Amino acid sequence: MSLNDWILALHLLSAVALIGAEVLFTIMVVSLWRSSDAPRIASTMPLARAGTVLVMIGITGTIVFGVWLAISLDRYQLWDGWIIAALVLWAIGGYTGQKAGEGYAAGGQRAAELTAQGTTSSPELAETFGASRAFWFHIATLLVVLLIVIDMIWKPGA
Amino acid sequence: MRPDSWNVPLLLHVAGAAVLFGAVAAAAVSTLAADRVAQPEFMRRLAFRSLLLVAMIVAVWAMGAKPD
Repeated sequence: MSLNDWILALHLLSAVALIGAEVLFTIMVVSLWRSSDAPRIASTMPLARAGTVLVMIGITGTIVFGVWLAISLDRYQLWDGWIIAALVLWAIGGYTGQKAGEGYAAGGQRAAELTAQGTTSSPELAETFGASRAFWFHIATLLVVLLIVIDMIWKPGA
Repeated sequence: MRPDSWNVPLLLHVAGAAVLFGAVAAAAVSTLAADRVAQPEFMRRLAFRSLLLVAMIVAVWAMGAKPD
């Protein structure tokens, strides 16, 4: 295997980590949909931590190995339209993902506090884990990730 | 260069692999964390449903896509 093959493999593994993290977060969102159950929400926090680690690996690996590959391979340039589109989408996805994460992390923190106080239910939690701002940022992140994968496979203009 | 007709099956294959990875990761973390959280039964149910619904059905179907 050449160096470029290794860079491509690491780029793809990073992408799998990133998409896998989004799947993991989606499983959490669906399983906690409109839940007001504080101990239940607090119980899923290990999943959120694992997802955050995967996002960090994925978001760093895709950009580092992706840019390295674009520089290393003669047939692609960093200023190709589809690569610029991917970089813009990556930045948008990073922003929306961070906003979704902040919203759900605040909800998880609140659930942990309520559980520690002995409160088992709160309508405030049902709001956060329903169709909240964090939910719509999560949906936006999923759409952006899908667009990036489509851009990477079709490579429009390449 | 691969033919354009491979793009859709490749998209399904890549997405299926990533969904499979995410569902297995969710199931593994839920199972490992179950004994240390307030609702262990909920976490075990979550692990089982992740594997059954997401991994088995969605990912295996998507990864079976083949070019014409």
